[in-house]
Amino acid sequence: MQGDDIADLIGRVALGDRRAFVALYNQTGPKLFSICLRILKDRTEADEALQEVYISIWQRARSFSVASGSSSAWLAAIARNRSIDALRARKPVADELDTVYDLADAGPDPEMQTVTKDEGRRIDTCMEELEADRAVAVKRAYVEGLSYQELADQFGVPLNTMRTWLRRSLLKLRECMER
Amino acid sequence: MTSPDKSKGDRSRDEVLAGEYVLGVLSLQDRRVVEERMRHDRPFAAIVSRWETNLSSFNDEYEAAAPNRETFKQIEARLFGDGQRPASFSQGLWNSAVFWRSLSFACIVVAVSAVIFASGVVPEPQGPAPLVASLSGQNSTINLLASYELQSGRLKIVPVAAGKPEEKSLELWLVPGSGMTRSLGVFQPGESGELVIPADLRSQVADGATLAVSLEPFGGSPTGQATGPVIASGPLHRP
Repeated sequence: MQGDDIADLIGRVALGDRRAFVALYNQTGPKLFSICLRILKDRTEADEALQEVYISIWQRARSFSVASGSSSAWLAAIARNRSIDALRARKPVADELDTVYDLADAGPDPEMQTVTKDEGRRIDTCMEELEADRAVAVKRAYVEGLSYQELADQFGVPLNTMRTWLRRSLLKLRECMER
Repeated sequence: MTSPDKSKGDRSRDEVLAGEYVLGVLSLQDRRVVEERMRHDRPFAAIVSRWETNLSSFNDEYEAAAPNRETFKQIEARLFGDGQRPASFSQGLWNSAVFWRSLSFACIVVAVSAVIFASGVVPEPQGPAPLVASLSGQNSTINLLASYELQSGRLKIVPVAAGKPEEKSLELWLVPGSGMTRSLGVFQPGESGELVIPADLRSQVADGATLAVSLEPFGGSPTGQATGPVIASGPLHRP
């Protein structure tokens, strides 16, 4: 996907251009369908999710022009969010927000700046600084849309251990990206 | 002022929560809580957005997979109704969110007028507040503020920061809540930034519609639809 071409097509879609919508679907559909399929692991559900993804893209294209970030990342986020919502609706997992976040010894304070910008380092470099199994867990959570419980089962560790792995990994990644 | 330790803890917690949201490990209910917070807490939304950008290189893991042949037809059917034909005017109006919003607004105006009449207070003779839209674009050197006076049909555009002059024209488009995009005219550089909206389009310039500006060949689009990049767009709303 050429970022600029895709961004241009999204801009035209924002103006209600249906031919641009077809072109956008043809160029990005296979990638976004792959995301739905990988997370939902069911062709019928992935197909349903993909329809909702493009309906959402049509409706939200106007908000892209004022959003920051790359066009392909924006599209992928819509596909991932829709798929993860469908997955969590089908297989509920425990709410986490009430649990105590055990973040002691989490490392240096991340900088206060939250402006989206080009990070000094790429995520790949920072992933290499994590312990190998934790890096795999982070990536698998993202790519497959796995829950904490599923990750704990796959790695053969207690649920709380997996929570700590991922939360500390996130803070280490943040610290590394801002270093 | 919170203590540095507490501030640090909150900050770390937000980073983790945003990261968990983007990874996708949260429950459905927690995802809704996070999204609700993103709507009201811009710094937090920026943290989420940064994680989305940071982790987006993981998207390389997803290989392409061909969707079903019928999928796009179903998407179009769900978005635009049956078939490829644009809806007829009456259907379009009937199904138009703008129409119904305008109607609701008209009802509110009637209701408010009735209250004012009943209370015996005579309002200042002034028209309704103009509709305004702040138009901005990604990496754009131009931001525009549009305001539209309902009664006179005068639409005023103020460039907030203009880019280098080129042999191009800026054309303003109206994207109604539903229906075809229509040209509202071409801006003449150096003038007051006002466009008078053609009378037959005024009913469509309403809350819920979107204004957009595209970069067109000098003099405006040759086709009647935008041909150049959309440099800015934004929804109309009542301030």
